[in-house]
Amino acid sequence: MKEDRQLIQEVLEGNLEAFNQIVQSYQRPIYYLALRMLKNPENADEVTQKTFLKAYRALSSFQFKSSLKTWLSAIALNLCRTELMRPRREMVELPDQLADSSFDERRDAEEASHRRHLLQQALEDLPLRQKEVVMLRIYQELPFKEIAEALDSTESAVKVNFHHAMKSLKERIGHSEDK
Amino acid sequence: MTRCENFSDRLSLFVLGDLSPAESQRLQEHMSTCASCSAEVHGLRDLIGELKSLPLAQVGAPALQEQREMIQEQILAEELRHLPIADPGDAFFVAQRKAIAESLEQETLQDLAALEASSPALISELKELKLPHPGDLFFRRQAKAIQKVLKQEGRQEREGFWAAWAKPLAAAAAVFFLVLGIARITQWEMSTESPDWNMALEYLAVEMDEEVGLETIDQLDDRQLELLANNLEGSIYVESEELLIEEPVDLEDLNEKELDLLINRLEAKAQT
Repeated sequence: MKEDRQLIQEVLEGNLEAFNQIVQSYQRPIYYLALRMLKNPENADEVTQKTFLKAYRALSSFQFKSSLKTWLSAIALNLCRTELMRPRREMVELPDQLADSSFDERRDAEEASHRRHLLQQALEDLPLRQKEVVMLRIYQELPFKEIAEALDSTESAVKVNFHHAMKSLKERIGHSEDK
Repeated sequence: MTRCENFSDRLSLFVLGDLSPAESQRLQEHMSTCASCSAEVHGLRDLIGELKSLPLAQVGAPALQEQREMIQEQILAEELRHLPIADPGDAFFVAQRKAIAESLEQETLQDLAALEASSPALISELKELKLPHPGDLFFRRQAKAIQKVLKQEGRQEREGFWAAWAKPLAAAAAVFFLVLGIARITQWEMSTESPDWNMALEYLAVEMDEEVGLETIDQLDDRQLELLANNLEGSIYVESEELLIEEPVDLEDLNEKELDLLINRLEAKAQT
C-alpha cells in the first residue's frame, strides 16, 4: 500500500489511477461523515463526490500540515454546511428489527431503540460546531489538534466544544431517563 | 475552585485517552477518592460508546464502486476540458496515445502503428480537424473511452484480454469512425486485384495483339470495355460519385457521368 504522500506526488505527475487509490482509501469515512451530518444517502453521495473532485483540483496546494484524511474531512464538512442550508431532503432512520423476538427481548430492544432515538435527536440538535467536533473526534477518530486544523480553530477551543457537546448530550439523555 | 471543577472539562478527554500521561495519573488519583467524578467518567464512557454504536445505513461495495466511477468520470472530463484545444492534433492525440500505449499489449500497439503508417494522409487529416469545443459529444465519448482504458490499467493477463478490452476498444473504434465520418474522405478505392481482372487483360491483349494500357483504353470497343468493366468488382468512388458494379454492366445503361467514371477507373487500373 503506497503512502498518501507518494500517491499525491503521482497524481500531480498525471497518474489518475493514483487518485483512484486515494478515493478508495478515504471514500468510506468521508461518505459516512457526510451521511451522519446530512442524514440522507443521496446528499451524502453528492457531497462525497464533490469532496474528491474539490480535493483533486486543490491537490497541488495540499501541504501535509494535517493528514490527508483531515483535509478531506474539512472539505466534506464545508460542503455539508452548504448542503444543510438548502431545503432538506427526507432524512433516513433505520428501523429496528424487533420481529421474532420474545416479549422481554422486544421490551429491552424497544428501550434501547428509544434511547438511541433520543441520542440521535440530541446529536442533531447540537450547535453545528459542536456537532462537527463530535463527528470528527468520535466517528472520524481525528485527534483534537487535527480537528482544530480542519475547522480552522484552536485545539483548546475544539476541546471546549467537545466538552460542551458531551455535557449537553448527557443532560438530554439524563433528563429523558428521569421523566 | 474545588478539585472536581479542576477536572470537570477533562473527563471526556480522559475517556478518549486524550490526556497526557501525567494528567491521566492525576485524574486517576483524584477519582480513587471522588465517587462523583468516577461516576461521571462511567457515564461519559457509556455515552461515547452509545454514540459510536448509533446505527447508520451501511453502504455496499457496488455502490462504492459506482461512486468511484462517477468521481473518475468527472475528473477525467475536467482534465479533458482543460486540454488546450487550439491545437487538437497535439495535446489531445498525445494524451490519447499515452493512455492507450500505457494500457494495451504490444501486439495491439503494432496494429495501431501499422494503421497509422498505412494511412498517413488520413491520420494527418484527422489531426487537422477543427474539433468542436470540449463539452461536445466527441469529447464525452472520448472521455469515456479513455476512462475505460485507464480503469483497466494493470490487467496484463493474456487470458481474458479481449473480454477486458472489448468495450474500450469498441469505444475507441466508435470514436475513430466518428472522426473518420467527419473527415469527409473524398476518395476511397477498393482493391480489384482479382485473377479475373488479369485474365481479362490477357484475353484482350491476345485479341488486340498488344498490351492493354492507358493509350489503348480509348481504342476498346464497347464489348471489350464491358469485359473489363465486369471484372472490376466492388464500388468505384470518385469525388463522392459512386458507380456500383454488382452484376454485368451494359454500357448502354450507363449515363455519361457513369461512363466517365468507368473510363477513368479503367485508365487508372491499366496504368497500374
